[in-house]
Amino acid sequence: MFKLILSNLRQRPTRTFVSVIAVALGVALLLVSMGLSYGQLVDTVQRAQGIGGDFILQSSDASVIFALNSGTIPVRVLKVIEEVEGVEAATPILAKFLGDQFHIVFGIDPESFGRVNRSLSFVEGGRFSEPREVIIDTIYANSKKMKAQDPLQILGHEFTVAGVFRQGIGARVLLPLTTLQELNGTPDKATMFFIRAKEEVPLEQVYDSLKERFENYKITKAAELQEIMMDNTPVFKEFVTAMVFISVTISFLIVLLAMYSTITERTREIGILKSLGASKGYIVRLILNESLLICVAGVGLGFIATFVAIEFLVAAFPTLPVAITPFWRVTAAVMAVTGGTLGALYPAVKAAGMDPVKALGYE
Amino acid sequence: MSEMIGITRKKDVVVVEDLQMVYRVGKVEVPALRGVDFSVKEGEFVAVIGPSGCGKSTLLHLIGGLLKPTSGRILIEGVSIGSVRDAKRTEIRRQKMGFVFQSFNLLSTLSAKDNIRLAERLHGNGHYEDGSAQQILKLLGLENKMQHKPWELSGGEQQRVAIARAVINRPAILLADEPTGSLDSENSRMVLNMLRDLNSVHGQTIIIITHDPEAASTADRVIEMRDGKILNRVQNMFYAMEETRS
Repeated sequence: MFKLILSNLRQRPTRTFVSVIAVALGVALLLVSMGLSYGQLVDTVQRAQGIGGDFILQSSDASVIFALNSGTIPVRVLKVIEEVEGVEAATPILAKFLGDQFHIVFGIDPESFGRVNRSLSFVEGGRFSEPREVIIDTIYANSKKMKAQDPLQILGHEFTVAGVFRQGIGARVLLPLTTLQELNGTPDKATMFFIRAKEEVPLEQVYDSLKERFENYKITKAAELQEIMMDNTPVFKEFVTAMVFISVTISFLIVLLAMYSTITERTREIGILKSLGASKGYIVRLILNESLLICVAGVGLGFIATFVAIEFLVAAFPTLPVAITPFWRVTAAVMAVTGGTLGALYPAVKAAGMDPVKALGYE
Repeated sequence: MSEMIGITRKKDVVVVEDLQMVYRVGKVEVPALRGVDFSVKEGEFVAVIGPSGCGKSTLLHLIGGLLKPTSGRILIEGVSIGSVRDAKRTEIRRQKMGFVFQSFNLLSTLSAKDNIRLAERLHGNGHYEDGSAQQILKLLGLENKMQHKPWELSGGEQQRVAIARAVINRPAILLADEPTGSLDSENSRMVLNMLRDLNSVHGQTIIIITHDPEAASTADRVIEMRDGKILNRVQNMFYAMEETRS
């Protein structure tokens, strides 16, 4: 059967090639779009967790998507947080989304930030000491080809890069809290507080204490941030569903079309097989295996196309986070094969049910 | 009694009883067979002749289990193929029949050897005898054409491959529908000789449908059909021979 399938595919190289390309397109579309959106989400989570806090305190109506919030909590709340039992340190952060550059900057208070975060390290320069100084991460520095002491425009104002830190902490650009408060028009306000618990106190106990003290605030456990973000990111789930649906539909329609036209062309061949005693099951398997081969080749090519597309995107936009997990690779492959198999099912059943005499007489 | 005088009565491989076949074309019913009765014994070579539209091909397709009769019975080695389910009919076709068609009907994407091997695999549920395809192609003088695709072979060569494919699994009956219809006289003779040899040397039961008098004369018995009925038995060499012997 395998020889017959291969020879059939070779007999119609253009259609086989186009079908494989189309399936690959569906796979690549799913992987690239999921890689970009999921990558963005994971990157945000990892950088938030990189700050080092165990909890994040926000106003009750705030989103876990930091870029969607502004400064609404008075900075003086910091003292109240630090008085809660089990809290070792806390730091206020003002988040500001820069629409023109499409990334987020954090305003930080260096003193309290240092108490919460213990992993900030510099590859060049050091912390800012002046109001118009910023620090940038390695990815931002590489993408903009910047180094310490270079000028940087933020919100229409000129800053100097004081240092370049290893990526993975907070935002790509960190600047003094008071400066960002001033530029944002929210003096003495913060978007959120990152809170570090004392090591000797169980996290659940600290969490309960914080919830009790700040019952009108939203308190998020940093360890659960990814799950919460996936659940709360607007239209993320709908986007995932839509991408999976599109991928399956592409495979389904292309394979349906390819297999339907192939069985029409091969009507006589099906009649010959039936005259040789091929069962309905054999003919169904023949068509399904042929589509399976197309799908498998499409998945392989789709993986290669995804790799090339991601390499190209990352080269063009170095700050773009991409995360293609094994789960999504398997999902893309399964969806392509499922779509293709479903698409081949109708032509396969139709071929198996052909009248052998009519099929043999087909010109 | 026959055993006592050293003659074994040959069994019926095909028995056709009051076979009727009506095609429906829209609301119109077109009768193709109007009550056909005959039988074919093991090792017999029967030719069915008659004008176009007399029902010869329908009869062959019914015996081959490619069609289901409107009424009547067809017994293949005692099994009624008209009354069994489609899957069983397919199995009988796979195990007991070999087809040869006018237009050869080889699979164009496969080589001569692979066409034969496919029939073997279908018959043996995926298994085949190593070298049997080569052997039969060698026997037919096609050992140099094993890897050739059908379009690389002449009409005569294609038909020889088709015959090899039909008999590779030693079927109970070989059904040939106008096997010389697309061949020149030289190739026709070669194919007919091959069928004759299969019958006389290997005892292959053969039913052939033909317009060609030369092809019909190769057979032991000729059945003439007209308007969906059997007219008479023009020749009955097989029965005559058996009766003489007994």
